[in-house]
Amino acid sequence: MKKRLLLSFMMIALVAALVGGATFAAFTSSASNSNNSFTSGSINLLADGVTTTNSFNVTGMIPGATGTDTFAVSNNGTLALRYKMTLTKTGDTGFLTGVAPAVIITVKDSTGTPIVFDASGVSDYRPLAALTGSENLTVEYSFPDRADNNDFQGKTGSFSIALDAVTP
Amino acid sequence: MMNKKILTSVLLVALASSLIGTATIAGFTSQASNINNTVATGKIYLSADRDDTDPAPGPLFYFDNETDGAAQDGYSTPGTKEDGYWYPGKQSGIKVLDVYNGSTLQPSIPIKLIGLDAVVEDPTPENGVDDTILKNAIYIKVWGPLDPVGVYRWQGYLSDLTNGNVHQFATPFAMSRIHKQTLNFQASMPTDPPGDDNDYQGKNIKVQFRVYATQN
Repeated sequence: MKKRLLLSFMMIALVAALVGGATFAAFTSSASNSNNSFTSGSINLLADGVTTTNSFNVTGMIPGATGTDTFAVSNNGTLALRYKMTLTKTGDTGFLTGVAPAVIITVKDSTGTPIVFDASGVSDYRPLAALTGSENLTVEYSFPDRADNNDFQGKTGSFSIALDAVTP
Repeated sequence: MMNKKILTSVLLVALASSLIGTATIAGFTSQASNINNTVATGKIYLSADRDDTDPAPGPLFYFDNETDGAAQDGYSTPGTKEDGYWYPGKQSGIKVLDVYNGSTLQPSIPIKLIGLDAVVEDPTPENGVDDTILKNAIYIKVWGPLDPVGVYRWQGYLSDLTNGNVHQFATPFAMSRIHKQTLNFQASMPTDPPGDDNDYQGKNIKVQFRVYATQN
């Protein structure tokens, strides 16, 4: 009885080996396509050739004061880009901030057209070409003479323009 | 007495056998044969060419024809499907790989294309920066020209293709003994690829695609 059982097991093993062998016996081949390259581009937005620049450090300002500064926004990356500006103003209440601030900040493009900022201080996107793309922006401040001038004696404020670029 | 009887019987049987045998040899005879039967294994003759409107060896994906897209030496066919720079949101045109099984001079055996993988050909970091990270951001789709729109035999990131495994097509491509099967490839970089998008700026990766076949 044991001998028959052993024989049965051996037969099953043999069949399994044959079946397994058949599975792995197929002819195979492969073909290839070489030298495929993927090169990612880059964008690099600069203000006056650096990542951070400064236009004004004004002290002792009096009513009627104005000032301008021009800086170049450029892209020396390999891809064209578009960028937006976010104008942020802080400081004493009503000096730079508010609906009718004492000091007015204006940003103009190279044609002298004022940049429009929404209620959050964000502009529309502006395009800049790759490698050589550049435009000059002019920043102006003015402290017009007004009836409540004295309310702004000894006040301070600051503003910054953040430039954020993305690929087209 | 018994032994003698047995001996006699054996001798008689031997004699009878001898007579029968002699009678057989003495008859007419004839023979026929079937010779020179050969058994030979088939062979898979598989090759692949880029098809930039004119099939020639060359990469499917390349920056431009001057830099890295020209056909291999001996072929004047320039690349006509330049990719340029990659960036989030970019999608390549449809790149065509012609896979050949056999030819009139070298008939192959019926096969099926079962899958593909890819190998990074230049894994050396440049300037200490590992450019192969770009494989995490390049998404590949492969399909046949007769497949329904939006149905792909395989799709996934280049990093999947280069992970050392052969990736099975959803449905194999059956090919007869002399057959050209066109495979369409398309690459894209999602608008928000995995990880920090800026990690992929200014990188270059070079890969080899491999298509695998087995007998059908």
